[in-house]
Amino acid sequence: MEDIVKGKIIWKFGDHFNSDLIVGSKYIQERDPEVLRKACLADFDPEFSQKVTPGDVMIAGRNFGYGHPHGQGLTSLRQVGISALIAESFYPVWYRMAISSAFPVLTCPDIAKKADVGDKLEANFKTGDVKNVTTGETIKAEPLSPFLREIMDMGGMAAYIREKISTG
Amino acid sequence: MGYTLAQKILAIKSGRKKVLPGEIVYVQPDLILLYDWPGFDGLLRDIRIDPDRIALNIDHFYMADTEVSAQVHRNFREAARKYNIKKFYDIGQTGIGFQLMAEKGHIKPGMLVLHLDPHASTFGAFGAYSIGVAGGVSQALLTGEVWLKVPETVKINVTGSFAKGVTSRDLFERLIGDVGPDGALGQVVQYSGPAVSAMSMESRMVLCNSVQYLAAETAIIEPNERTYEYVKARTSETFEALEGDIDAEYAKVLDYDVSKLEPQVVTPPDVYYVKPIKEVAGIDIDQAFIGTCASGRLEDLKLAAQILKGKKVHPRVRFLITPITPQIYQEAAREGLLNIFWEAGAVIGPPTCGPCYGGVGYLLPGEKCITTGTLNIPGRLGSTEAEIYMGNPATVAASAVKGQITDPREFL
Repeated sequence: MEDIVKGKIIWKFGDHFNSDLIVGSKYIQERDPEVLRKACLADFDPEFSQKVTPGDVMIAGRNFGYGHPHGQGLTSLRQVGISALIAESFYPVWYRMAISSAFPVLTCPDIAKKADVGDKLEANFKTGDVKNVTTGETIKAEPLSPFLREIMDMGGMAAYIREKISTG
Repeated sequence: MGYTLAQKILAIKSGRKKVLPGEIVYVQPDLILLYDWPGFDGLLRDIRIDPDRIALNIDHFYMADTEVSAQVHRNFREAARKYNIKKFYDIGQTGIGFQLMAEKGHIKPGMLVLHLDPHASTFGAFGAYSIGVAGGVSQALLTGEVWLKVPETVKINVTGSFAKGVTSRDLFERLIGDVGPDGALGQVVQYSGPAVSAMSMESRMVLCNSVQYLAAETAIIEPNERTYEYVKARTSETFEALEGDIDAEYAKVLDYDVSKLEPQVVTPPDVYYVKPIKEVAGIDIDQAFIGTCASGRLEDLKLAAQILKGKKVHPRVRFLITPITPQIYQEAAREGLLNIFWEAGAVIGPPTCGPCYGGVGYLLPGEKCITTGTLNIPGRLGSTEAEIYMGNPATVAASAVKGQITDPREFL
């Protein structure tokens, strides 16, 4: 993955946002990426999937991905083209799912207070500096650990394991 | 400085002398569990570890209801055959995995157990370190190991004795209400103290079942004689009795006296909106359910039967009860509990997770349900405009009789 992700904030989640609400509970068995793309946040804005410009980012308050770790929400965020999700903290299993599928996530304790929808962000995953280009302020995030970075760089857990197995 | 039980298990399973909170380690799980869910069967396509480290069961679809679930079941059967997975429980021998695996003697103190589903914390009741890691399971099935971040441990010291109609579930719900939905973010919740030592294994499993809603890594209870008795009655395999050091370091210690604890009810729209029963009593309900991995055990059914004996389910209420496993079903039959349920007008269903995730029991807009389920997010049981309340089995039984959310202590 790139060290720096740049993008406009298209959505801001509150605290403890339940992972099932991203696409809605009725889709917990759904596996079709196109269905999940269209369902992304549709309960909040039926047109949402069409409003995203690939590369847009999202921010969230505390404990993002709360609840039961169904993976459909994560798939839908990827399918609509979200390039990173920066949250004040993550629900641990959701964070793990994101890393496993090489979806860029960053823990940034003040992000929901210091950025809002429409702001442009430049997030440096190596240093942990998240610059709010719109306000000019730099917000400190926890840099991604080198171990997790390695998984991300290989394109996720599946590729990481293939590599590990092939190199013994 | 000593170590907690969780640290000791992770040290052993990672081949280290010690592990410290925050470290990322590779651990070797003793047992990897999976149940039937669309997509999970894909993880069984390529397995490169000892099949005795894997246990599979059917529980989400007690019988296939669509082509997709039928195919998932077939893929489970074929994987069990292909890889010679002996611990596979198919339709007819299976129940809800978060009880079944313990009943079958597969869960022992000191084990490291891995699952996709964080309700795996249920097995912390046995002094095992049991965690849900979502797709992380695929790593374990291929390489035999998985990465973990060593968590801190929060100790919940529990004293006193539960009043009638109050269960370990109420203690857990109160804890969520008190510390909030990220009150143990990334931590292990260790339940200790005389009230926990005195608890049955069933109550301990309920207490550990849903700590994911504290954003916790898992739950754990140090084993005692009761644990050993349960496990030894079910397996002849040996295990090491481990407990935390007296000078182990805990991130936090919280004290609870359960003597004055009241029944708690989880209200919409999410699992952390917890209220004492008096604040919600009187709300009319259309449907009631006792079952899931958080209930449906023998003592839950006994408690419900105590309330339902000689009574009738309210004519407006559809009341479903599902014992958690065939063994519990049989014991409930032997003790006459099922007759009490039938005579009251309840429906008795097979052991399955279905009524918790919306497989059966569809709610229409405006309908209300009270359940011993594990999740009440809008739309979980049909319409997003239906309301799901959750409580202990006594509360659900009393509510089914009165047709409205009811304090079970009125009946006991």
